[in-house]
Amino acid sequence: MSSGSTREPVQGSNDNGSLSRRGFIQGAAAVGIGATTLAACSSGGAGGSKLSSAGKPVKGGPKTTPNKAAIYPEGYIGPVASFKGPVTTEHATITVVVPQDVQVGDWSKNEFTKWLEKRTNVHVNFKEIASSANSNNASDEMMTKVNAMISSGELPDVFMGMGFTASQIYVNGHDQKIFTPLNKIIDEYCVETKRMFKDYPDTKTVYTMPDGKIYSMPNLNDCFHCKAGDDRAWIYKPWLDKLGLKMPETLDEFETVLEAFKTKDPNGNGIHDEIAFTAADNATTFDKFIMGSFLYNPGTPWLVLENDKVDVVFNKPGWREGLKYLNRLYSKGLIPKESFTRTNEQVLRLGNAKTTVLGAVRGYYWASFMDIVETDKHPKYLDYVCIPTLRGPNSFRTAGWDYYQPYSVGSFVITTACKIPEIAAMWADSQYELESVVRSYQGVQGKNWRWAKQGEKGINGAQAIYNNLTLWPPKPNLAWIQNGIMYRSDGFRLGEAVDPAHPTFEKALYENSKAAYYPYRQKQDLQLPPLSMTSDEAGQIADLQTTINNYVIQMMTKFTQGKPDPNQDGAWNNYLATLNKMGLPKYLQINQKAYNDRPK
Amino acid sequence: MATRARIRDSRSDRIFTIWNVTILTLFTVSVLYPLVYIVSASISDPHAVNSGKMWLWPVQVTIEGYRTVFAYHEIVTGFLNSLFYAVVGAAFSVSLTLLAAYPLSRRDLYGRGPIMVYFLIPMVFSGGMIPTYLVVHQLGLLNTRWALVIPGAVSVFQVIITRTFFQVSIPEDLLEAARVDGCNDFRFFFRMVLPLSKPIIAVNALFYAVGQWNSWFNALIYLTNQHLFPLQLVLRQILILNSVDPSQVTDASLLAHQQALQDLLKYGLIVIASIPPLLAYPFVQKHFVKGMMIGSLKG
Repeated sequence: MSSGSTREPVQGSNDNGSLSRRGFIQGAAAVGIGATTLAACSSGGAGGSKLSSAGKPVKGGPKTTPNKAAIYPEGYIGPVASFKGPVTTEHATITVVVPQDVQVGDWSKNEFTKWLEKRTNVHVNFKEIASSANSNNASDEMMTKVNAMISSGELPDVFMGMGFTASQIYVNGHDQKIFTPLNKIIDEYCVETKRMFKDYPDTKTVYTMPDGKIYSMPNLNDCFHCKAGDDRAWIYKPWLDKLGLKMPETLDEFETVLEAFKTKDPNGNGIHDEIAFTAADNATTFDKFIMGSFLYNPGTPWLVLENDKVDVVFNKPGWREGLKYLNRLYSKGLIPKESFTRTNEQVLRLGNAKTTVLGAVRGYYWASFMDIVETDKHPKYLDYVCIPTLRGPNSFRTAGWDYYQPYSVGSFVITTACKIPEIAAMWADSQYELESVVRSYQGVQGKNWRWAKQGEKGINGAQAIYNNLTLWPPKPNLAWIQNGIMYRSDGFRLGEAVDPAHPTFEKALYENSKAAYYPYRQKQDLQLPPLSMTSDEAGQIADLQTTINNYVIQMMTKFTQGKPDPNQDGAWNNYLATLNKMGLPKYLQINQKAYNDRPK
Repeated sequence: MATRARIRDSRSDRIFTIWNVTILTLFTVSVLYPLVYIVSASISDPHAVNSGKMWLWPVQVTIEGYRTVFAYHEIVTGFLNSLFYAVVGAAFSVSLTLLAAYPLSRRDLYGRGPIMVYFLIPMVFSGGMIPTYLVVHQLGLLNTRWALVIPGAVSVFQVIITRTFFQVSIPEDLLEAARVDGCNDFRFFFRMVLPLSKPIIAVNALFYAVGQWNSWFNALIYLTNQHLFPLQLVLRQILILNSVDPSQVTDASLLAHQQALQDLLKYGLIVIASIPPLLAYPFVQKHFVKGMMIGSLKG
């Protein structure tokens, strides 16, 4: 069934049972004229800011006076509370494209929208694109719509929360000249952005494209537990206690524990239904947890730096040792075969079952394998604790720590159709102020949150900064959830007051990650920073990366299952040869070039 | 009651009947089970559903899911919008299809062959997404309800089925008889053809309405005003797009919340979204087979 076939004029001139040629031509002509007239009408309104008086940007940024209501813990680094004046001399209007989100509700009637307009004196015409609520992930669909907008010249002033990739930003900024470079504007007008650059020195390098320009306003979310991410594996503590075992520290101890889980019936129902070690679903791999005992493993796409040389880890001897270890667990039945096929729904069913069957699970956090029920007195999920990175041969242990997690590029870009980019940038900059951040994320002051009092403790036990009065997320229409751009430093995130009687899982996740992985993190200069590539490089690398990554994951599963056996040199050499055939050298070479070209 | 004394079923007949009943019962169960499961799940505690405690009948009955569904403005507006698109879109498409199909069914239409070929071209390939988008943009339809109703209003496939239906079920003699009585083409079409074509109209209406009800892509591409979004777009946001890879999400509380929300809303939403098509089917079904069969003969 194809689209675009309305044939009205043909039928219209068809009344007498036979089609007169003149009628047909007349009909066609009428449609043609109609189309041109309509087009003429609409072309005037295409894109850009439609305003009569935009006002002038306030020189040097809006007037900023400190807000004394906020108290900070000692050594605090992060957004600072202040009162801000308007960013424009007269009421201005900008058009902003945002993702639709049921939690935000109607963007134009949202409480935070109103508050921000009052503060900045900038009115916003929102255009919503239907898509994912998660601004860190551009969905293909959202990009389809954005590309259609760009190619029809129907540009808004700003795209917010779209999640452009670094390469898309570079193509649209440098090649297509659709996004405005912001270096100068930030320098002259954006106080809070400059504070961020100072607090987090990496920000500037991450956001600067190979041509030395910054095309997107930063969006920083320094989340402690996220940096450990796929390192985490969980173990059911009560079983360890019951069997009189201690938390495994080495690979051998881990193996012993798993064997005990499998053979000693720790759930005491007389059946050997225990699953010693499994993954949260068939897409979750074991590598980030296990390989840390043999070599530094950053996780997908497994790129690392060694003395400024870009390399991968999945063809190193340490990786092979890890595969041998996994294969041993598998052949002893400690990792069941189903681990590679179960869907997340099936695992959740196991995790939520009345009889505990899951011993150790490789998963991002509890909700990956069971429901987090916060209302229980002693929630069961808290019985699963993180297994620290295990000590391997020669006492090697390194947890892959993602130092570049805080930065998501592409959350806020100003297009060249915008006639008042300074005002748009300052509108963004205003959102980095502390009160703005909490309002944007948590909702209305006094209703959803308040400033913390002296002595209230945050997640890390230090003085809290703000106290949430309602559970996150707030009801629709009160906040922008995570669709705005924010400056959430580590200090800010940990400054959320915790009710000692009812801690949320955020605190437990922080403590688990801090105890089990943080002490073993690698040095930052081993991690490959996010690279922005030219459109040419990006095109070449996309295919290579997909092919290679898929093959590595597929082979990880196969080696674990012993088909082929990682202990045989032939199988391993075969694997290495296939990787080279897939273009690994070229892949590394392109990455190396992008790394060398990156702004220092 | 003569049948009592009638011939007893032979052994093979009885085996056949038993098999027949068994297989058909299994078939019915396999069709009914998902329906019952979803309705039950929609009024059960999501935790019970996740842990596999609920397998057929509701466990820990709660209407929390439905209450949450209706708390979201977007879902209610989306539902109403979808109804609008389905009804108006179907009415518009059916009219155009009938108007296109009838002349093409007439042998005395001059240039019938070339027109038909012209119609068939977009069945093989279309202009592509961006060019179509540009056309919609230039026509000023972007971000209006008409963007979902007008582009692609006519499906050539439906035109062909309808044309064949007319060819088969409206005899030429009828037209001649009407002409003798002084009836013109319009009158003939409205007074004779339409009343005789209820089955094919019903089939067309159902196809177009269900098509509109299920579609989301045009809305995604053409609409940037969330007050115009159809239900499917809102559903997609809640159900599909939020089930993302956890390692890609920077915030655990966001993720946990999305999962909980999804669990709570999932089944209620599916029920709500399926009600209109389920209600429409029984009324159209009796025409369905007839319209389709006649329309597809002599294609």
